Formats: sequence, structure tokens, C-alpha cells
Amino acid sequence: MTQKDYLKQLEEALDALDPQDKDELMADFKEHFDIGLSEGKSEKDIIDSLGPVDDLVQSLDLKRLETQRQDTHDFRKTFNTKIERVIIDGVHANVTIIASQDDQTHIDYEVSKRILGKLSTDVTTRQEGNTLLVAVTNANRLFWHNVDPIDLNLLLPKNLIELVCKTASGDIRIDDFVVEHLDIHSMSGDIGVDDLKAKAIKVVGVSSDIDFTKVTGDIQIKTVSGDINIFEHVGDACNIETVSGDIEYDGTAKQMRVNTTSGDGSLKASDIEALNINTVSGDYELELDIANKGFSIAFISNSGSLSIGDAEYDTPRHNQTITIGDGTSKVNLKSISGDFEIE
Amino acid sequence: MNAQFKKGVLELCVLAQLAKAEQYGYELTETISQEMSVASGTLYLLLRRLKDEQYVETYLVETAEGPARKYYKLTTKGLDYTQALKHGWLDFIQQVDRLIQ
Repeated sequence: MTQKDYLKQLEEALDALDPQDKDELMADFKEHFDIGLSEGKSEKDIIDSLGPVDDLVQSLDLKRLETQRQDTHDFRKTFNTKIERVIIDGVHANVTIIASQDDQTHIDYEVSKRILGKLSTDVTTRQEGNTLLVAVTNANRLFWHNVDPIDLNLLLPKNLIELVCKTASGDIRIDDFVVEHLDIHSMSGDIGVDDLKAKAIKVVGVSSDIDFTKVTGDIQIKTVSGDINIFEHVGDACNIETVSGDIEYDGTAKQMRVNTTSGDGSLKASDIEALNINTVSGDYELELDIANKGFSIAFISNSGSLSIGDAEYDTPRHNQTITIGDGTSKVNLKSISGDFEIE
Repeated sequence: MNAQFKKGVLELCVLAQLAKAEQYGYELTETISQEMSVASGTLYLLLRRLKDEQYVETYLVETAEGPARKYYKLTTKGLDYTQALKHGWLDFIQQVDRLIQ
């Protein structure tokens, strides 16, 4: 066989590939021949060392590539029995949770197509009584790092007792859902919750950005650097702990605690009864309904500033209690060098 | 050696070689085939996949006497990945070693 024959065979065998991949590979083999010949090897020696085209094609797993092309790497698993608790370990998968229309549980996932990459990621499910466990796994256990991107979509019955969703780098999205207890953990995936009714919502993140819109239930958030946006919250309590994340809040919380190091905050809470802000250098803007309610605010800060409404109030002294509104509300300020503005 | 098994290990060998020095394909296939019997052609497919996954980058170098050479270079991501693979591998052979001794 000559170089020309070999390359022709190869070209035909690689026909299932993306044209760009094919061209690049053909150029690689041509280069291999050119260098080999320039080093005095014969075409036959080079062909022998490259290996038979059939073997190469086998290593490509073309059958699998073809199935990938036909989009058959969509999977669906359905559970007909009653599920009350769902625990998801998504790792790098992007997890989306929405309400199921037929009260059954469906798990859909699509492994992103790759050109020469293999399908190494899979999803396993296990049911224990009313609890469903869903975990993203890697078929190639030896090398866990070699993973495909994956989208994991769960259609779950509304009114679950508990939903736990963990990811490392995968994003988490929950839309139009009802659950008693929601527990979210993520390292770097972003967390978006839209239109959710719950009793208690707990979020632990590291660098995740957190976006909540139209969320009902008590909220507890702990994160390091992600920003936190909560809009149209309906619930009595909201506790937020973050190091450098900025916080934006708009809702009905009566009790609110905020602990930050450097994150800034803008809080609109007209039903507030007790607000506790502890920050080292964060600046906080509050929008409160001063006329109607009796409330107490404690603002403890090193160099952060506080403004309530737009009027100015300047009190750089420590431990000062100010009475505002109709006299039933109290603001406690503790600061080393912060500025305060109070309407 | 089992073919499936060899494939995973081959990836580690290629990455480890590139971690030592940036090389062109031909050079790399020579180094690898000196140590293990492997069809050089599969290495090009492997390299293409590693490039897809952004573990390696390529650049062309013109040569005076012969054809231009496509050099392969590890990315930062590729270097991290190589380290992870290497640890995985070393753990694995230790486990096997304990079991077969």
C-alpha cells in the first residue's frame, strides 16, 4: 500500500466526522508521512507504524458518533410511584427543576455532543421508599475528571416534603415549584429560583450567584463571594451570611439578619419588625415603611455606611439609639467610622 | 494489555510527555512507540480529542529543510488535568499492587 492509498482509505473512513475535524486529521497524517519520509523511512514502514485504518476507526467508535449525531443521547426515566423526597447530586451537571404536569416524576438528561469525545457521564437513580436519589456518575471511574457537560432536567411532583439539590460547578434552576423544605448546595454553580412556594429554604454556596424571584418561605443563605438578589419575597424571615457578596432584597420579611464583611446591600422591607445588619465595610441602603410600623434596627459596622430613605442623619458616634417615624421605631447604630443617613 | 485499559493510560502518557516538553506529533509518536506497542495513528485521534477538550493547544513551526510541524502544548487546564490523572493513576496502581502482592 502506498501513502496515497492509505490517506484515501483514511479519508473515506473519517467521513462521519465533522468536516473541519476531518481536514485537520488528514493534515496531521500527511505531516506524519512528510516527516517520516524526510527522515528516510519508507512509506510502508510509516504505514505499518500508523496502524491499519480499520483499527483507527474502531478506536474512534464511529457507531457511537453516529448515534450522537442523531441526537439519541437524550434519556428519560419516569417514576410512577409516589415520591416525597428527592435528593440530587449533580456534580458538574446543570440541574433544572420544574413541576411535573402529570404528578409523576420524570428525569430527562442530555449529554452534550462531542466530536471525538466519548460519552463518559451518566445519571443513576435509586428509589428508597418515598425517597428518590439522583446522582450524576462517570462511567470511567478511574478518571473522574474526564467528564462531559450535561443538562439534567427533573420534572417533579409538586408538594414534595423535601428537595435537596447539590452541585459542584453545575448551575441550579428551579421554576414554578412547591416543596416544604428546599436545600441547595453549590460550590460555583449559579442558583436561580423563580416562583417557588416553600416553608423553609436553605442555600449554601461558595462563589455561586443567587437569584430569587417570587419566592415564598423563610430564607436562609450562606455564601462566600456570590451576589444575592431576592425580589418579591413573601415570608417572615430572611437570614443572609456572605463575605463579599452584594445583597439586594425586596420582600415582606419581618425578621432579617445580614452578616457580611465587605458586601454592599440594598434592602426594601416595608413589613420589617427587626433588622440586624452586621458588616465590616459594607454600605447599606434601606427603604422602609417608617410611618406605619414599629421596628428595631441594629447596624453594627466598622466602616460601612447606612442610609434610610434619602434624608441625612449623621452620627459617627458609637451606640446611638435614634427614634424615627411615630416614635415606636428604634434604630441602633454602632460604628467606628461609618456614616449614617436616616430619613 | 487490555485494549480499553490501554486507551485510558495512553492519554495519561501523551499528556505527561507534553508536560515535559512541547512536541510535534511525529516526535511524540516516536517517543511513545519506543516504550509501548501502539498504532501511531490512534495518537493523532487522541491529540485531536485533547485539543477539543482544550487540554492542548497547537501551533505551526516552519522548518528550513522539511515540512512545517504542528507542535502540541499543554494548556493550564491540561496541566491540571494531567496532574489529576496522574494522581488517579498512582492511587490506582497502588491499590492493584496491594491486591496482587
